[in-house]
Amino acid sequence: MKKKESILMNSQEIQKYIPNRYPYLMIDRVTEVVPGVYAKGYKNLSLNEWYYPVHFDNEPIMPGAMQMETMIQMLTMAIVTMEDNIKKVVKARRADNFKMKRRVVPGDRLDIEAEIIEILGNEVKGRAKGFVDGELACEALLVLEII
Amino acid sequence: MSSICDIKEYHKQRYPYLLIDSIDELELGKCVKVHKNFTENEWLFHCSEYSDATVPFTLQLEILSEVYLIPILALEECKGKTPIFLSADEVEAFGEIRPGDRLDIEATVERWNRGMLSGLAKGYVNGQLVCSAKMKSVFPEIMNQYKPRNT
Repeated sequence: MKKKESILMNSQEIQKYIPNRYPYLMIDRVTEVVPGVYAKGYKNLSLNEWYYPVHFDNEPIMPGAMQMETMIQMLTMAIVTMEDNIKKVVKARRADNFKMKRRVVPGDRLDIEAEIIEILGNEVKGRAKGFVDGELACEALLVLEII
Repeated sequence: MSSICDIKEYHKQRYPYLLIDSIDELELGKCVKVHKNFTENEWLFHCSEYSDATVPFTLQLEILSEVYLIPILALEECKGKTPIFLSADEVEAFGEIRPGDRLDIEATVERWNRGMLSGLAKGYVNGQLVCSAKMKSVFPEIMNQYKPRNT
């Protein structure tokens, strides 16, 4: 049985595990992770981010692609914290049932929960959900590949 | 062929989040063909420490979503209106897109009714399929016109 480790990672520590950097590092904290099982954390949303002024000028909304990227990166944390996968690169290959249930706007905090469903060789299937104030904001089924 | 100025008439997004270069064919309300060139001189190839820079999966989805909206955004009734992206399914990346590649995208409207849009987009590099997605969006200003009024 995997032991639950209460790992708190800030953005600097996250960057030790995943190669994403500004302007495409889309998670701020990892609050809980069981390597190979799940990862939880969050991303703060601020008007001071590059995509809000252009999506859209008078109505800033977090793009769907960025919401998906947040979920992918959190699921990746569940993968790359596994001893065999540390420093490995993980790429997304497929997404299904991606839904956006509410707008995510500056000032929100997007809480992400990502869990691994299955690992088959280099392919990892998982699901992730994002919440704002406890309300479901986005979800997706994801297939990632460990390179 | 439409220029970037025409694209800006349809899409409210701007740099660094307008990811289409040229509309090559357009049939209003039905389908569109566009292309986007990729160059080393773009921010999206410099947001990872991974040396083999390729277009991120989610930006491929973003491009497909920008393209599939065009046949509808070009309709008179939709000009100036903001679509809201609802969902995507069967989003797949079949290959990598690198600096120097040209991505040709074809998108088809499957259903457009009362402000609800569903469609499909596929991206090709040198004739090879590299990405595809089925997507749904809504135009709230149009959809609201069909809501029952209080009597």
